[in-house]
Amino acid sequence: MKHRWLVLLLSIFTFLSFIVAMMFGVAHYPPGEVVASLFTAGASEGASAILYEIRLPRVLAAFLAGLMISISGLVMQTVTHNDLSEPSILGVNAGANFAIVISTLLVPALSFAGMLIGGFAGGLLVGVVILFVTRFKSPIHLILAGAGISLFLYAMTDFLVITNNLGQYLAFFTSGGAAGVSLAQLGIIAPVALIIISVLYVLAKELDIFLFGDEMAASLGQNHKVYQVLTLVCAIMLASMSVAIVGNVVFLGLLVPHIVKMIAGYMHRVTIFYTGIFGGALFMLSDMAARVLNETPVNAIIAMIGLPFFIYIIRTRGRKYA
Amino acid sequence: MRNSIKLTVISLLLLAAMVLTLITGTYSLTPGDLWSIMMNRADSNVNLVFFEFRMPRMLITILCGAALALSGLLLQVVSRNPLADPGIIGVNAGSGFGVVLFLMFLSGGANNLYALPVMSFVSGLATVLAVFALSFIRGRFNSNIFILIGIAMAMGVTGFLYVFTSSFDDRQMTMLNQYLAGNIWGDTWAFVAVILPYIVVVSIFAWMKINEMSMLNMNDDTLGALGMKVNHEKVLLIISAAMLSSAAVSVAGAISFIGLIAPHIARLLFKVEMKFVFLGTLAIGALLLSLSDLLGKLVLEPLIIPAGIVVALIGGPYFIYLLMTARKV
Repeated sequence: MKHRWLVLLLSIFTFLSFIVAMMFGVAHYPPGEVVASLFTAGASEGASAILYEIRLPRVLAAFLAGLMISISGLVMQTVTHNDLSEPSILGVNAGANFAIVISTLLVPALSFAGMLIGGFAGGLLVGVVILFVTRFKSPIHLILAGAGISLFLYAMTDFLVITNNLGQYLAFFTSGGAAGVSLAQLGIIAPVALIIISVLYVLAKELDIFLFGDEMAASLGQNHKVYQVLTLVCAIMLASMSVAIVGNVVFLGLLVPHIVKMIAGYMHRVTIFYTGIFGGALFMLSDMAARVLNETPVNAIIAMIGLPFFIYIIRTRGRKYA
Repeated sequence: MRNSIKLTVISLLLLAAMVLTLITGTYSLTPGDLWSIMMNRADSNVNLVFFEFRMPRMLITILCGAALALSGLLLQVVSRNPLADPGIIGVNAGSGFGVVLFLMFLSGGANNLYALPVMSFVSGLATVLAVFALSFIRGRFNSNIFILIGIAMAMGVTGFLYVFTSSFDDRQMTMLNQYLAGNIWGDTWAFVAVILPYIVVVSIFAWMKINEMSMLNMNDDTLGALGMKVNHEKVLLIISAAMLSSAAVSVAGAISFIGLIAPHIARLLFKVEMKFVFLGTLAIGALLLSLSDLLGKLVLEPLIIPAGIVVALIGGPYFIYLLMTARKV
């Protein structure tokens, strides 16, 4: 059974990524200390306090964000019938970011949950525009729409930033990274993410039917529009929550689903699971690399792998867009 | 209305915008001042503001606006896609990367006036040419692949851009942000002297290709059968587009949407007559950028909003409208 080996391999990879991500940073710790610190929760001093209080939330946030971004990318690729879809390309991230900036400006004492809801509203608005404006006419149309809308929203955000002196927020969003996330914030996001992913998991069969194309889906008796909207809303929610904790992460939502599909095939019941875990592990590692390299933006790390991969995908599958 | 009349009206509007740009600002001039400048009787303050600050900025603005618009037209003609824009396909990101490199390695040392625009120009041009080189599939230039790879490159380079910024201080960060927001900064005579001949020469080259441009809406096989070297012409036009936009962006900062909107309005007004579309694109691009600069200067005085942001605030909704109406992409 192929999947048994894949699951085993992925578990080992994820576990090792976690340990490595915990080990390296501004200060490095041996693996023994990492494991020990996990079992002596609440230690108030020394290495285990640093590991537990600062690094653990960051590593977990990276894992969760990577998981959400990758699953969101997977669903968007299926629903839009487009190999190049992912939250940052479609402009959903820019929308969420703009809405977060606006809502923190309007309500300065906004809670984290309020920020999440604001971000979701912004992402959803972009999703709706893309859905109804382009109607998925052609893949290149969709990608151009996303790029143009992103540019527009960045300009609006820039405008707010300049008129309100919010420079530091912009830097956070554009560079991406899991620094400064607290366990309490993760406690809000994790259950919501779990619910959304369960919904997507339940809808896995419907997502599979999308792969056959719209006409086939209709002739198989699927209530196409309903599932299209429902799954896209789930994907947008995942993406906008990730923006709230790690900013705009590029390419990850494209890279991970493609790698998974190359190895494990196309059935969503399987790919949702693999994509999530693999994306989380990969983002943990990228965030670790960013930390080690003097807090380099994590986007730069991902772009180094992601850009060549993206160009490869365009050149191999893009011919059908021509 | 005849096309020539429309073009005249647009030119008059451009002239009005130019005059407004010249007289408004923190130190506003009166029409009387303008008259005395023309009669060569103005006092030295007025002369200084007019000739050393306003005039070069106005010229740079219209030149860059026109260059960006023409670059957009060339890209749209070659890719047969009304939504192509130099900013969207990576020119801005590439030039921004050049600015980062400059701030990183050169800004401390010898302060050569041309070092920053040259680096930003070279890096913007290199980005587009890389995109261009990657969009050949089996020896044929594929314009859809060109746009997609351009978008990918824009994203990737933007991610990369921030690699070096972790070591930047506030001054450098502000400079980069201003640049990326499209603040027209190269506004002195020294830049006019370089940019003006350059843009004129490239535009004239494009003008000589006008017949090819108007034919490019036919498909490649037909054109080949008519005896046109399609690949060859596309390469020349794309290189001209890249040269125009990276030069404009290197002195005016990262400005998008001009290249998208101006050609579209021109096509709307002048339909298929390519000569008028060409000239109209130049004039409308210049008009749009100088209006944006004007609005950014006046609306929230004394706060100055970079022209690039104003352009995007106007251009964004127009772009969405274009998306809704574009029948065939």
